Amino acid sequence: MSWDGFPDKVVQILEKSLFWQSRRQEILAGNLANLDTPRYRRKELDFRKVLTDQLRGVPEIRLAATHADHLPGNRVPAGLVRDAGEGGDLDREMVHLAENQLAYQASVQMLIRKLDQVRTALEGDRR
Amino acid sequence: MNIFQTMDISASGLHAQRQRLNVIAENLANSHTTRTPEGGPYCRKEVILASRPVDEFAGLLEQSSKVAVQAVSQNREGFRVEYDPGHPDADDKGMVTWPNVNPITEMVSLTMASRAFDANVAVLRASKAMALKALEIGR
Repeated sequence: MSWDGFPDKVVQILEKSLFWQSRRQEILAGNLANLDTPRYRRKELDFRKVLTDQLRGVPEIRLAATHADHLPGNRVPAGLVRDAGEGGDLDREMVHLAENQLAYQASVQMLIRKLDQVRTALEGDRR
Repeated sequence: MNIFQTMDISASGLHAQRQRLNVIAENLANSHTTRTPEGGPYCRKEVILASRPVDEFAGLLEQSSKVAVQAVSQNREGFRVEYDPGHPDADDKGMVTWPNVNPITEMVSLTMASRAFDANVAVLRASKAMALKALEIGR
């Protein structure tokens, strides 16, 4: 979605962070579901790195298209989820989970505030 | 959608752990069974879990993975043999073979399975809270 109408990039950043936080939640859910799977190696998404990469405009890794008619594949850019190379651990995953949930709620809260600001600007102080 | 995929993954975890609990219950219930349809004492069963990509094609790329019970294997090691000539299932030397179920091992796996189940419930709750929070945007 284009957010060009906004003077700053806050809404855009918040949208990206919500997307990546819910993606991270999915990965954590996968790790926790596979706690007792033999030889399963936990996956990781470094949220901070992903977001700074996106903000700096580091090019995303995508499927190579060898023909102009090829579909671009999944919209989710690849190369950001990495294999941590170790088994899952209940306590650590729960900590990550709580952290991620709080961060997500913070992002949502900030987005709500931001949209409130815009609304106030549009409607003026009607009270 | 992302949030529902997360719930799907947690649901697979819940399902797998519940199947594991079923097998543990079966082991404990049969801890003194000396007769089975296949003959001989009951063999302890074990659940083998395997991870599985969320959907088959996307699994080729990096994807979070669900979990599923791949197999239930029978363990034929470590039967307890006891001298009890009066027992109807005793062999000609008076030895009775009891199942290889160790209640302590089973209780430990029971606790582990129920902890893992709880963890999956916690993820499910967290995902639900996140989804509800997201619904507040623009309200």
